[in-house]
Amino acid sequence: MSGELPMTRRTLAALLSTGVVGVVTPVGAQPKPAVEISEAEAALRRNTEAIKTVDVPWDTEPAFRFQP
Amino acid sequence: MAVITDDVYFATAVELHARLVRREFSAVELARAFGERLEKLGPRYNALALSLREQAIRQAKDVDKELKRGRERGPLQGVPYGVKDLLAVAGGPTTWGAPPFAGQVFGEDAAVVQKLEKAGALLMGKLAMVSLAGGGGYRYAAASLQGAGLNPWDRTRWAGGSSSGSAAAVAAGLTPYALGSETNGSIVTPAAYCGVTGLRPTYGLVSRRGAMPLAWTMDKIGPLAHTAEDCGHVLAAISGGDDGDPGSAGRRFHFAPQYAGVVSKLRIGIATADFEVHAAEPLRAALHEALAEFRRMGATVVELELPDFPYSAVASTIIGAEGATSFGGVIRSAALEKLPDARQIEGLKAGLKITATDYLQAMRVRRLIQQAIGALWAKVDVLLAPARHTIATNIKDALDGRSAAGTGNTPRGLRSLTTAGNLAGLPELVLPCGFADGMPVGIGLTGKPFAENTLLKLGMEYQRLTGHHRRKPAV
Repeated sequence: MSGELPMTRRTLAALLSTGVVGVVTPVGAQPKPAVEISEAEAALRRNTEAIKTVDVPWDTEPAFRFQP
Repeated sequence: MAVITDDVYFATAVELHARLVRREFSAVELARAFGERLEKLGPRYNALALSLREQAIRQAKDVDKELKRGRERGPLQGVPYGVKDLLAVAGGPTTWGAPPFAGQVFGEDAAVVQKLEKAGALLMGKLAMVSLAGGGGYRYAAASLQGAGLNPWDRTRWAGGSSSGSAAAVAAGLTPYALGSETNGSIVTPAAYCGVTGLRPTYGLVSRRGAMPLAWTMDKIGPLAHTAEDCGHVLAAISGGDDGDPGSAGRRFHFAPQYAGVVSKLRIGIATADFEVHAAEPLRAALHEALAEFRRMGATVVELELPDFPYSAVASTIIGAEGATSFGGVIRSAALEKLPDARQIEGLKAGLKITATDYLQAMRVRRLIQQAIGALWAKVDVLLAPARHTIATNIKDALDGRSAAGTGNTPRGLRSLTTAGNLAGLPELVLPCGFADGMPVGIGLTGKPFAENTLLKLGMEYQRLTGHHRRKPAV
């Protein structure tokens, strides 16, 4: 879903009436994007490696039609 | 004109409806009072995304007319509530907690909102959440359009996520109950951190139509309230088959704990390691006392542990791939950079790199997980474990650190139960069970698919015998 929908006056009034849009809470210094990129990609690799350790029988199908 | 006293703000939905029927106050008076309170105090916790007070008061007038005519719809009639801002309410913004979607408006109410309107419930407002329900991951609690969700028990601490506003609103007496959602912990965590009762239902029991999709095969919508009983009534109202939700189980929940069996005949599975190793030390007394209370109820306690699977890796792969596909449009646009959390931005981008074979392999392992956990039900009826292993974190703390307890070579226990339960589509009921360092502690009951009545029966009995759910923060 795109975030580029037009802002109507009613919508803007609704947003402004809450008085909460744009509240900022101080946080610790965020790591640089390069750190976040490398950590996100490292996480993907770790997940792939962890899943590879599971012995999956040949006839196991993905839970396509997921029903508990 | 009735005076709405403070006890009303922390009353349960069942209590409020009974008082409405007795005409102690009108639905309009109740809507006005909660509406003003939500508008005034919601921002204190960054809990309010959008007030719907005027709309609720209009609906309340109809409720009062019905009650005067003796037309009763059930225990939620005339009772105010709030919804997480990933649920569409027609005509107003549904922001998904994320700046790129701040102006998003849908033309139709979400299915659960439609159902609660039929039940005569009064929607007071949209409640704040972590951006995109945490899709992509996030490093700080401030990953939200409204800022970090603040805990009503201590505003230097996090309300938990991603249903932060829903939990905080109930804990602070701003709404008697609220709807949240859970993909992997987003009802359980804030319920535990804020000391409220939360219910994640079986996957497919509640229609996701009109709800933001993070992970189609893992998203669930459920209630947060003061009591298990209220959770039962809300679930009964919002559940049911829906052709508009491809994941719908096609069945309805009928709240009937009286038919869920005798408590003393139930078998509760636990892992001692959860209570003595995984849970941080300050929480252990409250958790042990909760376990003792379930023993005193007469239930049989059975020691066991989860089967050995890489639950976190499987869940991250599935949620990462499904979330990146769901949000692909914004991930590939400049609007992504508007998200407040750098980890989330990069995590969403990384999700686009999960290969189809990696996703499918994770889904194959998921089937094995479902089968292995299914085998546990031959030994036990429910699983009992700490809902969280620490109290609510400080809002400035990075959220990706390891928990203080239970690292390294520790017994597996039921440590990954929330993730395993989400992968297997199982219901979990979180109950406040005491305090540690002044902050709430929660314990979780996980059950078989569609066994919500068993969980609720145990939860109601636990709450009948204890009073933790009645404690309230100084607001």
